[in-house]
Amino acid sequence: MSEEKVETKRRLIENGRRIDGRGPQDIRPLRFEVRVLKNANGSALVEYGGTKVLAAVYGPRDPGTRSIALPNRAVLRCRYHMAPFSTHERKNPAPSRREIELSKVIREALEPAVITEAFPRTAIDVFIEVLNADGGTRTAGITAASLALADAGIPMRDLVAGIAVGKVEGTLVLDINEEEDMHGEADMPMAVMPSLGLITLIQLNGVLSDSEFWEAIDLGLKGARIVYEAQKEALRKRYSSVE
Amino acid sequence: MSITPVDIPVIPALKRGTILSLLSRSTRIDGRSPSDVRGIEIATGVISNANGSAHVKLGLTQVIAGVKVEIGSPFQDTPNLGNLIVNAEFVPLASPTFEPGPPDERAIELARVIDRSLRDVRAIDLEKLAIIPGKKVWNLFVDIYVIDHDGNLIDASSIATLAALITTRIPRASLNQDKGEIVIDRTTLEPLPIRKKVLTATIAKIEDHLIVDPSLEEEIVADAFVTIALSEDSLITGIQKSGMGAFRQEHLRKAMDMARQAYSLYIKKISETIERGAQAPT
Amino acid sequence: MSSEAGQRSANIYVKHRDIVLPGDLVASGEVSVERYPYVYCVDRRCYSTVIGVAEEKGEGSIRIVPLEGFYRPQEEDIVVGIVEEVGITSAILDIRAPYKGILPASEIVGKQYNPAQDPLINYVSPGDIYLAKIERFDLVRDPLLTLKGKDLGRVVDGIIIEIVPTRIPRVIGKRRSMIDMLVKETQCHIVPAANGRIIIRGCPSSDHEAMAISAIKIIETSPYIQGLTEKIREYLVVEKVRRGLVRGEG
Repeated sequence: MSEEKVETKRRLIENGRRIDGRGPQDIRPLRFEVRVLKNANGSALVEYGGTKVLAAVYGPRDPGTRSIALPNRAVLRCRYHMAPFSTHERKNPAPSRREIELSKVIREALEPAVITEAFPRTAIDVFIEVLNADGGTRTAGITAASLALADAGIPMRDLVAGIAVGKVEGTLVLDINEEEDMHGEADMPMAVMPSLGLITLIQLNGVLSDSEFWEAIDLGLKGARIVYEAQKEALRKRYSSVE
Repeated sequence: MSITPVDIPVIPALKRGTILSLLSRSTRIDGRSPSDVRGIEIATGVISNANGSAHVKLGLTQVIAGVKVEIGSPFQDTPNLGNLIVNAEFVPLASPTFEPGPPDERAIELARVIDRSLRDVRAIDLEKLAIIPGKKVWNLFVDIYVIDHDGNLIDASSIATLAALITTRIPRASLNQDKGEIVIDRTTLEPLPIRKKVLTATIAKIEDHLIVDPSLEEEIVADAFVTIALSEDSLITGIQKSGMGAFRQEHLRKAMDMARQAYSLYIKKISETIERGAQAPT
Repeated sequence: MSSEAGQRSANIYVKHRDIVLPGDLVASGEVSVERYPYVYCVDRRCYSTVIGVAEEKGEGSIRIVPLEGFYRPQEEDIVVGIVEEVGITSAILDIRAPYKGILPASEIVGKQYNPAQDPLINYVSPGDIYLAKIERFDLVRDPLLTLKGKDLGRVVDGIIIEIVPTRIPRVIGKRRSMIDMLVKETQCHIVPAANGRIIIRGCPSSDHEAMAISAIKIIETSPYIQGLTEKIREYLVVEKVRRGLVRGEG
């Protein structure tokens, strides 16, 4: 524990370089792969640097219980969960309050995208498992879920791209990692449908001034575009084999 | 697992049409303008067994916040700080849609949003709540009890929380060096070390219209919400988008202005109440 | 490519057989883009909602065909259903869709059927397979099936294979070119159903059956290319020689 205290004295950003060498507007290396599971109707494995998230989609399918069906659209059922080995200290597998809140905000980030009216009385299940957590797990989860939904052939108004903006030692930075999240002044996850210019998730943990907030939004929208292009690239890769 | 809500009371299409046509003329079904908040009543000190409490009526929404303190051990990674624990209950009597059982996702979200709005800006100086740093600290429990749901539970809860915290009195605790134990002086009551007065302001979006402090009917018709936590020195100490719709950047700009306006209306009401020393029974 | 329709201009941003992704802008202005829910139009801009292929359908009109996905029932579709449950007045069939197909007892047994005297289970069992038509489907009820129609009814022999439902049109081909070629070259009776199930029966030998299956699998996994019918025909001809089913023909 005391070693950690000494670590925090080291600067998070020095000469415009962050602890992992990135510039303030650099996103970590992105690796997206689609159709990674056999059983799910759609699936994706997404990495933003050290953060590794797996998403799977089942559906549209019979909800199994009449009481949660809606007569004019599909219901979305979304579960965000962290594997016990995904965090620094082992995480208890039972759903925490944080996972309950994040399951809700992630579902609400995907709802505007999915054309649920095309499948009344069914359920679309989205499962997000964080395999390794290094900051930005909910935004990586949304990005992965979006790819998995596309992989499952579920119609969407646009892909949803997730990215987190942070403030670290006074500087706004894009795609914060775990250390920056823990010791920085603000963490602002965002999810965007870039072709439609719509923000489907925005939260702020931390403190920002008014001008910092608007700057952060612009940075987030720029970052979301980059993630979006990477999502499209990953989907195109599956179909680019030419005979 | 979070599931699309299916238990939402149905608003007749006619009513939704009315709400929209009124909004296009910048007015609402209860006669308010889009940036007006409902009438607010605040009574503090209403729960004698709590160290602090407040009963808030925001329109017909009613929330009671109770603050209780206990001496306990600090958390491992913050040995020199007292602890703030915020919890919320949507009690079944408050609405036909609230069911008995553990807090559902809405209650958990509300508690966590209010918690973060206070924690990240250090609205309460938790360092001053350490009695023996590393060993014994004050644990500050804020319990939010929603007792009648007519929309905008979060702002009502935030107002109740702040009013309760400001009027909380805790006994002075100190370390008796000779005896090596904590001495609690119940005759000396002190206020909490509050550094910032943080409140949330919630804006609802109905198609392209933005309204502040939505009533329950407006909430049912709305497609998205943004809750903005502000401090008296204009810092943004928290944001939470909720609901199944989405916002454009322009919407957020307008929402921020409306939130600042609502904040000043809310904080004025709290200040008036505190000054009056209101302890009136409800 | 743009065309004038009335006084408004129209723009199509994709070429025939381009791969499109959710969120890709495919057209703007007065263009006919088919069809819901594979297309989303807002403010006179139309986007693809799925991973799919753009198809030109004539002047100023395009269609998005999904490449992935489950079967979305439509009235008049022919489907292969597998009985899951036998009720009192109907059987419930799995039709590879988010909804179950309902086959009324009167369709199975006939108009004079009286459920009180003669339990339906005497006539149909779970696991039975039917080639049926979707008579009614209006999103408020589960799809209603009928057996009135050419070749519809219980499937008693042959095998059923499953492919991604959105590839069935490729198995049939333009003006039935692909399916007619498959039947001719494999000498099997092949019935592709809209829900991605294909009945193969009456093959002259198990080799023929195996060839039919592998040809269909190739169609399923082939990218959207031109001349696929000819490629598959060549494949079958080569296979027949390889398996010794013909003598010497090239």
